[in-house]
Amino acid sequence: MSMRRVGPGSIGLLMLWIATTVWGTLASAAELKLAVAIGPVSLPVYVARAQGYFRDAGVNVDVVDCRSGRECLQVLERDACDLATGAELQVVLNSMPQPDLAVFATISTSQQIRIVADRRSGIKTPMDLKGRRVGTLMSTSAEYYLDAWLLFHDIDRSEVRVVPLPSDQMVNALREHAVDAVAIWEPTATQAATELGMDEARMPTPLVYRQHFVLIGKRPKVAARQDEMVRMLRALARAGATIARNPSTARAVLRAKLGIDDAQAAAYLREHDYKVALDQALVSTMESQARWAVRSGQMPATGPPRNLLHLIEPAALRVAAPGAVTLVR
Amino acid sequence: MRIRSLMFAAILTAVLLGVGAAALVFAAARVEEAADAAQGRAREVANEVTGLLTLTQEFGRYQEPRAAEQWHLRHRTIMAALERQPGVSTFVDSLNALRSLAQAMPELFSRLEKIPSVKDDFARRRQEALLDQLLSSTQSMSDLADQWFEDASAERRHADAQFKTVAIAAPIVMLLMFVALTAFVRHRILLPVQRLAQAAAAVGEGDLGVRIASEAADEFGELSRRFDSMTTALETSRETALQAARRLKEVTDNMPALISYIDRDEIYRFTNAHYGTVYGVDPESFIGKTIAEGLGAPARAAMAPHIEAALRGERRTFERHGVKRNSAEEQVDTHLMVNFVPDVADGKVEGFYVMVSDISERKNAELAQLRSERRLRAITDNIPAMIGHFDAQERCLFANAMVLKLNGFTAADIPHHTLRSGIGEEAYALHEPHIQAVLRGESRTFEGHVQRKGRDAYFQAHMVPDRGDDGTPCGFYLMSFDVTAVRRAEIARALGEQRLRQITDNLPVLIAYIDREERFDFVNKTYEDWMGIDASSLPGRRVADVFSSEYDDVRRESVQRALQGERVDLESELRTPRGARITQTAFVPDVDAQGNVLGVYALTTDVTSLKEIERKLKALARFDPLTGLPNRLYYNEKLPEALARAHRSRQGLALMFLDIDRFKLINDTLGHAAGDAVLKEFAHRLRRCVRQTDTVVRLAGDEFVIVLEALNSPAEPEPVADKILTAMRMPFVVDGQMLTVTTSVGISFHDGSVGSTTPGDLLERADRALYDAKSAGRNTRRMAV
Repeated sequence: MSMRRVGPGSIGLLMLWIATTVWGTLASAAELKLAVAIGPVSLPVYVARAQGYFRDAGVNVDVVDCRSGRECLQVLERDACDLATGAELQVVLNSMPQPDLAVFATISTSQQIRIVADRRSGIKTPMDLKGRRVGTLMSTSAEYYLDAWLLFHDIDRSEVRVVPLPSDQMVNALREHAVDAVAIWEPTATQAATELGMDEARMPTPLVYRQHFVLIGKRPKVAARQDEMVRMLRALARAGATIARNPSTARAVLRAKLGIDDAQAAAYLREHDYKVALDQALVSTMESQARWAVRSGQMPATGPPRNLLHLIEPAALRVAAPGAVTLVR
Repeated sequence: MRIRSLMFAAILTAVLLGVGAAALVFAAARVEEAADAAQGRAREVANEVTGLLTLTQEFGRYQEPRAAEQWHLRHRTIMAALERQPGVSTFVDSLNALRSLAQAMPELFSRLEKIPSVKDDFARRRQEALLDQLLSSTQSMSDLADQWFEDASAERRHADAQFKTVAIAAPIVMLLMFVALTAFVRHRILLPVQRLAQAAAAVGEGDLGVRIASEAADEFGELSRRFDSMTTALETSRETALQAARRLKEVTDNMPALISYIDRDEIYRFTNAHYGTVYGVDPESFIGKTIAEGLGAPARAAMAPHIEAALRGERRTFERHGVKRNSAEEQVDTHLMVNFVPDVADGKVEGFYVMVSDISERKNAELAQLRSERRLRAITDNIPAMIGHFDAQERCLFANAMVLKLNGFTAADIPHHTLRSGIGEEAYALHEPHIQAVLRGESRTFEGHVQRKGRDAYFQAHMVPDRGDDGTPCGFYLMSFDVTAVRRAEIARALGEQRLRQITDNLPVLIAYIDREERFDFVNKTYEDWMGIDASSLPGRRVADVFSSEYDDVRRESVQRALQGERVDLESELRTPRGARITQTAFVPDVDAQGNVLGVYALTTDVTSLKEIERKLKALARFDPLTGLPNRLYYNEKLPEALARAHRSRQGLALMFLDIDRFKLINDTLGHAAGDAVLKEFAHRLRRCVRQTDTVVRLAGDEFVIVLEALNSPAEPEPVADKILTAMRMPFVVDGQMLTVTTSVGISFHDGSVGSTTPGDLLERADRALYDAKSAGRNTRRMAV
């Protein structure tokens, strides 16, 4: 909600706010459990929670931290939560075994995945990665990024030794020379670069992948709780506006959550677009990822649905923030 | 708040509102304009991006250089469109995101261009990936352009709404302000002005009690309060003036004087109430009348010179006789003091004030004081003493007739004399030490002796300080009595007393005078000789304190009886450092002519020698010279005492009555000398037969009595009697002859019980028992039954 619009009709808005608050309070008996992947990509969730936007919207959201979107999807699969955050790739990869999965909103878009290489391994340019060990978290957007990045630099994946690694072991693997480079997202990427210090070989960051970090849920379950879903999306949209207009508050929340300094938090804010939306580019990206998944054998040749648009459910966001949906469906 | 401030605030608010509304309208217009521009640019970029998307797809499908060339051309167009800064900061984020995407795309496209037309699997995958990313990025740009357009549209709508709001609200606010300002002007300006005008009109009509009583903090409130203060001050001034006039009238009415004001035409313009008291008419009746009409022509004529002088501007004070009515409504003569005080204004006499005081009492007081002074002088002149009054410099202010007479002064000489010149150097030397003390406020009395006309003269002087009004001494009074006659009498009396003391001091008698408080007033020197006490230290001391042990109850009682007027003779023992003395004291009351006891003369003589002689005489009278045994007199004294002791101790007492058998025959045959020898031996043997405590008495001739005391039973005397009988059986040797002498004993016993037994009863019973023994053949004993 824009503050400039709180003016002439302030009394009406005040009454609406009171009504919303009262209704929200009354309706907050049920709880939405949200599995959230730790990282700057989930900042709207952190801000909404820290600023009490969920409560203001009349929805009770319980947040469960996960190390990655893939892990969050696993929690969702176990029905241990109602919604999960993760990269759009997770929806693509899981669309076959879990046909009920759907994207309900993008909470951030970014190019936050990068390659951190160890200069001590003789790596100076992307081509130096050939024959080197590159650690990444398999079946995640990090792996997808690594493949896209290698292709961009005219390197076949087979020329690189891809080493599967959990995200929390990346830094340690670099420190112990178990790998020569890692492909991983923030904040692990920064932690790895910090670990290497002067030994980091800075790799280029071409626009090979613009990640959509999305809110994922099971369609029937969400449909049954459409109202709470709308309230939650309102709170997230409000958080997105707060991050854009009041970055110092957002930085403070991020610092507290990730244990980073203010400069790092400011860098994350610059690299991310926290507009809660559903746009057409999401579909393009997911289609590209579907082809990559089939090609890399992570999905059967029968592949995902021909029209990936069906993996996106914009109805709730259209109610919560009508202008945020530019998806043509 | 002050009206000026409120008006300023209202104008400022109106201006600010106007400026604010204009600014809002201007800002809304600017935003609307910027939003329009942004919409146009967003639409332009969106169109270009759509074209770019198509070209990307086309190049991906055919790899035609034409498509690539057009792609780059269109991309440059987009970059150019994005380079321009947005008019509104809202769109910066979207624009930056677009720029970021757009800047990254050429690199992707270049890589895509470099992929050879003949491809292996890797190249195909690579082309596919790059193409996908280009398409996704282009789609993202399209989305961002749409979002930009949407944001611009929203901004435009918001600006439009803001413009409408201002357009509607501004006239309403201005209208409300006008209404408020109108109400304000009416309430804060018009109504106060109206109240002020009404109050001013009321004051103009003489109503000084009107008040606005506004509590407003603005200029009208301040003006109202000043108005109220002004009317209050006016009312106070008027009230003060009226009150002053009333007070003046009240003061003049209550003054015991006639007070009036007469103008230069001699007409009364003011008279106080005292005129009514003095003349018995309404004081107001004088007003308008001339002096001659008010007081009568004779009075006017009598005061004419003074009236004319007052009207010339001279102040006049004079006395005149008048009459007034007393409480009994009688006409009485009075002394009046008249004051005329001219009323001069601008050098011109307008009239004059008159104050007539009745000074009769003062006159009478002056006469009374004169008479009092005469009386006082008569008294002092007839006192047999010299009386003088001196100031602090010892100058004589007054001297009575005695002073004049003794010193040969006249009354005219007094002011020329000081104390020193008045009483002479010799007498002054005696007075001088006391003068400073008297001038310090102390009264002094002293006596002195001077030679006057060759004879001794004694005087007693009293000096008393004369205190001024502030209480400090400013001089002194001197009263000097001639006490020569008294002093000579005292000297004569002292000489007489000295002679008497020499007599009493040399008498072997303690002579003292004890006053009513039992203190020594006089003691003679004999006290020193007898008691070792300094006689001069005794006067003034209490008798009981000096002779604490000797002044026992008996002596104190004797003194007190004498103080009651009784002569008391007391014989007592007096312990002195030289031993005990028997004294005979006569306490003789000192009674004055009125019969009052003033004290007691105590005359103590030493009778120790006389008492010793008396004691010896008494002893001689109680013992038989022949046998040395006590005689009947002793018996008569001691038997009652023994009987009393028996009663007290409850022990028995026996009385043995015995005589020598046939003693008459011894006397007749052998002569009285032999008889005496027998009696002496008989008495000697009797003593040996009894205890030391028992009493053996020769009653008469050959009759003897033995008193035995402290007996426990009636049987106890019998062995004693037997012992006597046995002792007498031994032959008596008289003149070389052996004589057989026997005795008979009669015994009476008393058991000690208290009863009616008398000494006579005991002797009589013993006598009867003796008769029984005689009858039984003599040389035996018998117990009375």
